[in-house]
Amino acid sequence: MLFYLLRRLLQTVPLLLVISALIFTLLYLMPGDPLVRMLQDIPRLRPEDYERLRRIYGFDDPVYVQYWKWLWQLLQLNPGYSREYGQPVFDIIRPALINTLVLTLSAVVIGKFVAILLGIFSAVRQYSIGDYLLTGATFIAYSVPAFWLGLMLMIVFSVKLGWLPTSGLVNAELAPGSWEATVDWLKHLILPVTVLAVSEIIQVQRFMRSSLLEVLRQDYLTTARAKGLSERVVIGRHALKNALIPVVTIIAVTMPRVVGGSAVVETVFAYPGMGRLLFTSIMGNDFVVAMTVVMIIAVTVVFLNLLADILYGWLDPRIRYQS
Amino acid sequence: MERQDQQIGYWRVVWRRFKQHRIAYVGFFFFVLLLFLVVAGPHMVPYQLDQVSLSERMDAPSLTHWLGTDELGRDTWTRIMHGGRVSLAVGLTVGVSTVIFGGLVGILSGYVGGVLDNALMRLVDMIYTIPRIVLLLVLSKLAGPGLLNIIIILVALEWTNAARLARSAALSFREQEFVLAARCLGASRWRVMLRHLLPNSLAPLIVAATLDAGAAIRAETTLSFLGLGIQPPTPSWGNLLTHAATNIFIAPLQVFLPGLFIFFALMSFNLLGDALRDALDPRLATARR
Repeated sequence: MLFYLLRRLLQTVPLLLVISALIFTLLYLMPGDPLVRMLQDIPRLRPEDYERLRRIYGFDDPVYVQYWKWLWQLLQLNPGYSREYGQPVFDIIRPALINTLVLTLSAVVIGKFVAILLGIFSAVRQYSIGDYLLTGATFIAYSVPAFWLGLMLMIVFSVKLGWLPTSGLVNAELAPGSWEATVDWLKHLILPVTVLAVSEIIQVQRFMRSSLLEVLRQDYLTTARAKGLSERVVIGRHALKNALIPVVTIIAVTMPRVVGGSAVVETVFAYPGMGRLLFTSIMGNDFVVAMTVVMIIAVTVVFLNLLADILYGWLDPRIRYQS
Repeated sequence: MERQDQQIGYWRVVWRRFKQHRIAYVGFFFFVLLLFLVVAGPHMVPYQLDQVSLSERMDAPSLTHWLGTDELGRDTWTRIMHGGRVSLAVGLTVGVSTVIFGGLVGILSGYVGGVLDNALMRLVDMIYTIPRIVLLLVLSKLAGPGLLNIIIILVALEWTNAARLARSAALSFREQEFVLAARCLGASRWRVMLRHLLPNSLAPLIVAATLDAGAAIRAETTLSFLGLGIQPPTPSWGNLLTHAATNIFIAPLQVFLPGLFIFFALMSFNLLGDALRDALDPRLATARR
């Protein structure tokens, strides 16, 4: 097991290197001269200065040299400065990362919890009206694009009812840290978290239902009932324990998808997180910001995938790692 | 009757099962309706795609403008139907192309095996591991807007699924007697792959094509909504939403309508995919009940 873990961890290194090199090359190929913006700010610069600056900053180097320099700096945790804002990359990324973690973690926790509850309900009341309604609702919700769902919720709760703000996260007019500011912050979170949580529910509810149904058919539950245990104990203690195993792996497998989902949701609600930063930095040619955001996302996704594989074997001893 | 049943071909059986599937009808109905609307829709009303009418800006639906007008007074019905042509064309083209490309790569990989198989499957793993949204954003920014570009990008990212399916089918058929027989009769590698392995792997590939088409519409509309896919003046269901969203407080209906058509399209492809899977592989159908 330990050997397997080490091997898998080592395998992520070349994978991340290839991903970073690929994205670096693609971003490098994008049109747009990084020095143009600088030149606009300083009109006194002559063409010779321009050439000299290109050499100093290493823009004349071949792409692999530039990549190597970038990687070396990143490994020293010094990814550089944003072209757009002139600030250190980490100063720009830190607040965005915190905002995204708040958004995705609350959406994942709420979404998976609701999904498991709904799945249990559907399985226990199989073929009831509630089960049919839920199955139909998840199928319909599966076909609703996330950005449209976001806009629809905006129409209902912001435009028609006026209860919630349409976009952003922080109201600058309120004193930070005050009670009003916190409530306002929570109000900004409701719609993005809901949209993201809905897609989480869709992914898990069906699995929870079928997994519990499969367990409910087994003999040991008849034994439990024959002992005179109440239905609540039979389901809650005996059935759930086994039914949750495949669900936990599904949760782990679908975790990386929340990254992509949050990028779309953040753009719809102008939520200042990593997804929006990824979008704006790629659109605005903010090279090092884009590369750092990409690497953070890639590392997260690669490790979530690894976690899913490990959980899979840990929860289900029938799966062996030797091969 | 029994004896006749045993003699009819596989595809006849599939068709029969498909016809008995109630969900299939719903999906098929929506699909045909959407196709009909986007083809015939623009001809039902007397407006051009970019016919501006500043006196009728953001009108509510009426008898003259069935679905109202946008911020420049252009007829929303006309624009949505034209946008549907683009979005559906992207979806269908990508769905078919991913399966043709991915299917051929997968069969080649599974049948030839060895170094080629290893290299191709590592490539598939790579594409699968890199966060999709990153590649979509970077590639579409790099390639620039345009119908053909977006189709190529989506095919480049989505062929992996079909490749895996075709590879596993090819692997399972490779050692079977009918393939051995064909090889003994002197069939070339290509003949074995195209005449024997491909037809036998069609079932999962057809389902994949349907679901890929839906996924492609979802990806295209999302990208176009973000401003990266199809660019105005070419309308797409995605970029129609972008413009409507800026006026969400004045004309929320204009935001609702293009998305409703995206929803119908995605639902029809998902329903069709489900029904086709049940019809093509009845073992799966019973297992899911």
